Amino acid sequence: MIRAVGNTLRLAAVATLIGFVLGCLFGFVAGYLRNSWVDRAASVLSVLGVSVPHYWLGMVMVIVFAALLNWLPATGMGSGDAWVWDWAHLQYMLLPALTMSVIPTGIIARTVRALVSDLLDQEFIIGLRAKGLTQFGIFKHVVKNAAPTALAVMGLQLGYLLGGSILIETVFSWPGTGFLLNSAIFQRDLPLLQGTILVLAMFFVVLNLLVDVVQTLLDPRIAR
Amino acid sequence: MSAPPLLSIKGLTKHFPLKKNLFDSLLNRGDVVRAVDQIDFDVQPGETLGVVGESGCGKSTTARLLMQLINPTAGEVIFDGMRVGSRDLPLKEFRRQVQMVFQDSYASLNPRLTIEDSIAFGPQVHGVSKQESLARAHDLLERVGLAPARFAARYTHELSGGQRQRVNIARALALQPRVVILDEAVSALDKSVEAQVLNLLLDLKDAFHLTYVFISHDLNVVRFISDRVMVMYLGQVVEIGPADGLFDHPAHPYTRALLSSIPAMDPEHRTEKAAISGDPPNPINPPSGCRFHTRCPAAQAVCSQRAPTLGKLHSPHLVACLMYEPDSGYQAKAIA
Amino acid sequence: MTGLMNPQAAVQPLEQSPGYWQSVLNRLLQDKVALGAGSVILVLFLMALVGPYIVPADPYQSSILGRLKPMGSPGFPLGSDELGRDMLSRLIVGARLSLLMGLMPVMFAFIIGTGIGLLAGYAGGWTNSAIMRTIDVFYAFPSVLLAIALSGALGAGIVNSLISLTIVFIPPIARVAESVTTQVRMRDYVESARATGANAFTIVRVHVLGNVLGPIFVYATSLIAVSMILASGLSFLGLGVKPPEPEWGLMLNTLRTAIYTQPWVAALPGAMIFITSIAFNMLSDGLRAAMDNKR
Repeated sequence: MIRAVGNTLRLAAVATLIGFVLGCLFGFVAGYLRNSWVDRAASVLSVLGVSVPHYWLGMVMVIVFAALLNWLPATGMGSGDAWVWDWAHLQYMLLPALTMSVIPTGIIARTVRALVSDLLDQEFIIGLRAKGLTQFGIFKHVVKNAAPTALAVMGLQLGYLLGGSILIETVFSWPGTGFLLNSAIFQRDLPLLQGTILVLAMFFVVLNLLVDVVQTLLDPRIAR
Repeated sequence: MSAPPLLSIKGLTKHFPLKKNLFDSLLNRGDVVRAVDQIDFDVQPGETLGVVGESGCGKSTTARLLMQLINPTAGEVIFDGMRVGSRDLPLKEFRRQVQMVFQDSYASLNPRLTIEDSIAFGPQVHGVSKQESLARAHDLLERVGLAPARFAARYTHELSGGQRQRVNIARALALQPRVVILDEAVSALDKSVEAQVLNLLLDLKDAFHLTYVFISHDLNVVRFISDRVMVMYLGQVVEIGPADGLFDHPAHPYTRALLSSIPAMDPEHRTEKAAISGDPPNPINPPSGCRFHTRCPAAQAVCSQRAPTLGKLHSPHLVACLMYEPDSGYQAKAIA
Repeated sequence: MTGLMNPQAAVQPLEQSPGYWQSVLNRLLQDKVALGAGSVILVLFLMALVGPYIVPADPYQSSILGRLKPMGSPGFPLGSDELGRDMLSRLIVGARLSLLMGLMPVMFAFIIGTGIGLLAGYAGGWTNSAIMRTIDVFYAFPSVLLAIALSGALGAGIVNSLISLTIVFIPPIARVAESVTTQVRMRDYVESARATGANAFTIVRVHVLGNVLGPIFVYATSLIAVSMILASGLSFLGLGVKPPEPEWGLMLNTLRTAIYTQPWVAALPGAMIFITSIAFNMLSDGLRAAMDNKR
């Protein structure tokens, strides 16, 4: 069970990271270039990202990259029990992580775009430019203001992925908690089922707490 | 003062508890905001009672307490000789008699309802048929200067601030009340519109034999419209009396300071210096004795020890200040 | 009342303005993206309604020889699945179940969640805290996990899945409902409604409901796509619809092994889910934009 949790954690963490990076990228670009074609394209992409059934996407990825192109392995986690951060193992992680990252990317991109475009519209930005601050300086301000919420959303996504990984793990036969859940369901193994769900839920709650704490630290307005 | 008062307020008090966490709630402790503390006053039938004071003095809380929109911590409201909430005067019946016009004209109207529906809501609650309620609404719209053919089926966002406030007045009158409380009802309007609405209020008062309680921070407006004026400070009544008498010969030091802060119209006699300095103290921990003593130019040691009571200066002008209380320990000086 | 001129004559208003929902509809009809999404959904509805009567082949008819035929084969325009059944027919009939699983849980959760949220929001104080803390317990679970847990407990099958999905969606809707109701409750027009002496039910019905339903409804529509994906996901895991019923998620599951032989046929059901989900999300976005402008 511990090993399974570790596997899921690794996968979810990597996926969230990818999602965060890509999401912020798209979100910032869309926010800065708002109302241009870039913005519209980005918002279309994020609607797609949020709408896609990720287990289907996983299947498509497997079809394209494993079955047709044979670039990456389709299932499993790589040889051996222990995890090593080398290519032999990473290639197994690539597809599932990418698939999992699509939904967080969509959500984070949307959130960041809304945040950035709201911030840029505010009057204090005009005040800063009038003072002669460079574009980069303004950028730092925007980042500082957007960071708490963006990080909070990322934390929540990580929690959600931890819980929702079952579908992806089933598609890719990734030996994580989701996979365990799956077997528990099929084998009608109630204690295993309950235990796994409990562990996952605990993780989620702890994560939410952490997110709240971090947000309070970063955003002096919330701390009282 | 020969007729019995229409409204009689005795010992009205409202303390808002400030509970910072769960323990405070459970143990029933914590700071308390003494928004309104033991106020007594009367409202005579047919008069306009103006209520003035700084922000945070408790004017709006008093209005809401009168309307029973918030529950008083202590004290009672007596209407026409009957205690509100008693069997003689159940709450719903009292509501028909006293209505209120709020400051924010936009927020006072439900954006989803048409104007006529907004006005007709009140009567319908009290059993008037829908048809007659709408007819009443149309008639009232006419009275407040909004042609029903043009306005009845409109929505809130299509009207200007002055028009909305007229609708609010019409809505308050729909229940045929005897008292209308106007809580900063004209404060948010442009001056010219304000003047029109004030004149409308005076006309309506005559036409429907109303009694007004007019709350405002604008002293000129209060003087214009009021018969009597009540001055509040930090949750208490400090002075109350006929409008002209009070404005021409203010007795309480606070009232004096308030009136002298009105910018003078005469360039020969400019107002040079602010009469009182600083902010009003925190209503959580009001000063001991007379609450005004910390900012009073005429304060003496006894003022921090003894709280004055509202006593007659020369009836009907009442003032709560140790200066005017015989045997209060206040050393009388020549009063200007 | 002195001065009441003629109580019987209610003047006929000459100028009528469009109501709130009317203007929302107007604005929605001008939004091309939303219209496009709407038409897609309309087509899907039609598929669900009349599908079984117009399918070219029997969606349950299996054929050993006709297994896993590629798209474009004679008799199988979109190919056949692992039991030789025609994909096109199964996809069309599958619309019925998949749409059902998407819409019904959200509808029920909307009714129940709004009720709970209204109660908590309007009552305030202890009632509010008690109700919302209970809701939060459920809210703490990620929806997928909760759905699986509930389905696992109740067992597979359509009805059980509907029940568990409804339960999954009640907390988020209740939260939104409570939040909006609390805001509305503090508005001046609600206070002045209280000042007329109306009782709580009347106030909620006339003043609160109309102002609160809008945002909740928009939020609920954004959940439809999620519900569909979740329902299909449950079927994918074997917890939802049981074979041989055609349901897009279930079809994906049974075709999983076929991705090496007929990859594009295997991917078809998921594409349908994708398209439907996009359409609902775009409609929901359009609805939100249409409602935002005015108020």
